[in-house]
This record gives sequence, C-alpha cells and structure tokens, in this order.
Amino acid sequence: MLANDTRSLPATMNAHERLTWDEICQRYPDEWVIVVAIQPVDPPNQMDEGDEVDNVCCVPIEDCTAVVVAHGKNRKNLSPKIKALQQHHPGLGAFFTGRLIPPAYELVMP
Amino acid sequence: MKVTRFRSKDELIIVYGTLWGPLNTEGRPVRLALDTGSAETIIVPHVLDELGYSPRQAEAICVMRSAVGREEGYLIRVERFAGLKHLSRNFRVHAQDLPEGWGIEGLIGLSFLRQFNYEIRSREGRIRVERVSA
Repeated sequence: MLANDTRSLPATMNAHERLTWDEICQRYPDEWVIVVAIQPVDPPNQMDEGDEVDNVCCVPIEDCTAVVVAHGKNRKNLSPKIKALQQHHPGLGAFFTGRLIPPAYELVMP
Repeated sequence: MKVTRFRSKDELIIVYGTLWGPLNTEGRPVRLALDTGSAETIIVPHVLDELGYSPRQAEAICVMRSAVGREEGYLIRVERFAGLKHLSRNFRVHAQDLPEGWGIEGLIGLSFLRQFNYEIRSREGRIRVERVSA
C-alpha cells in the first residue's frame, strides 16, 4: 500500500511528513516501511574516527528522521514498489519497525 | 581504527551497511546483524534483485546448513559493499532467505570480518574495526 494512497490511510496523515523513527514505529507497528530522505537527527559524532565511508547509510535509522512512502506486513511484497521508487529515491531504505530477534530464540514459556 | 556504534540493549548486534548495484548506483542502506558464527555475509535475495543483480550472475549455487535446517542459496559478487565504515569492492555475498520475522536484510559474517581486526565492546555498544594489510 502506498503511503499516499489516502483511501486506506488515516485522514490526518501527511503523506510527505518527516518523522522520527519512534513516530514511524508508532504509526506502522510491526511492519516494513520504505523510507526516503533519510537524515540523521544529530551530526555524526566527532568521536567516530576516520569516517571514509561516513554517510547517512552508516547512521542507525533509529537516529534519523525520514519520510515513509510505503509500508506493508510482507517485505517481499514491497519489492516492486522499491524498484519503482529507487529510480527517484536511490537512498531509500526498507526497515522493520517491530522487534528484531530470531523467532527461534523466543521463549516458549515465560 | 573506525568505530561503529550499536544499541547494546538490542538482542542482536544490529549494524547498518550499504550495497550498490546496477539499479542503485548511489547506495542502498541495509540493516544487518553482525554474526561471527556465520562464515558468509548473507543478503536476502529480494534485496539483490531490487539492486539489479540476478541469480544468473551467481558464481555458485550453495547450501547452507545451520542450526535450524538446510537452505539453498547462491554466491554472487556485488559491486560494492560497505559495513562497519569500511568499503569492499567486488565483494562476494551469499544470497539466502532469512525468516521474515527477523526484521533484517542480511548478516555480516566472517567473509567480511576477516579482512579486519575487530573488537566488539558489547556493554559500550561499540565495534572497533581496523583494516589489516594482506
């Protein structure tokens, strides 16, 4: 579902709204989101030495703001959208908003 | 020496890498888990497909046996791969599916890590990486 498809989104949503990662996780819980225009909240930390490959891609998405352009529960289903979008947004990324843990390691009983 | 930070409270060591391909020459960020128990650096096939790589370019078809079973994949070289603030060109990755619920698009394994000396400081959430000459 494209984020600018207003037929299935809350009326209050701004399709081009820049959000923090926490805000993205709140709006799209346990989903894959395609984000563009990723920007770090703070400048790169001066304590990081020798950043020859230092760009936004090295900054955790949790420390960035971005614009959500699509989202969905199934990552593979987003592939066609990613292929289309990356022509205009080559720095886009796809990230899961839920808990990151191998399911095999989850406790069956507390 | 380069320093990469990660969130020490997470249940995996999550780091961010960048992949380049024929359909994305500016670099695509990917969220990866650092896995010193994995011989290969793994990227899920649909990410490679999105970047313009094809299984027809594979160097070899391979099978990975893990604690959870047997998974077929293929080995393929990507134009550039950056992780832990270091860049590798013509880098070989293992294209293999990971469970959807993991929420990551690959693993950084020893095929990348063995180019370096590295120190994982888990309590501090820092990985110190130093490239060593061949």
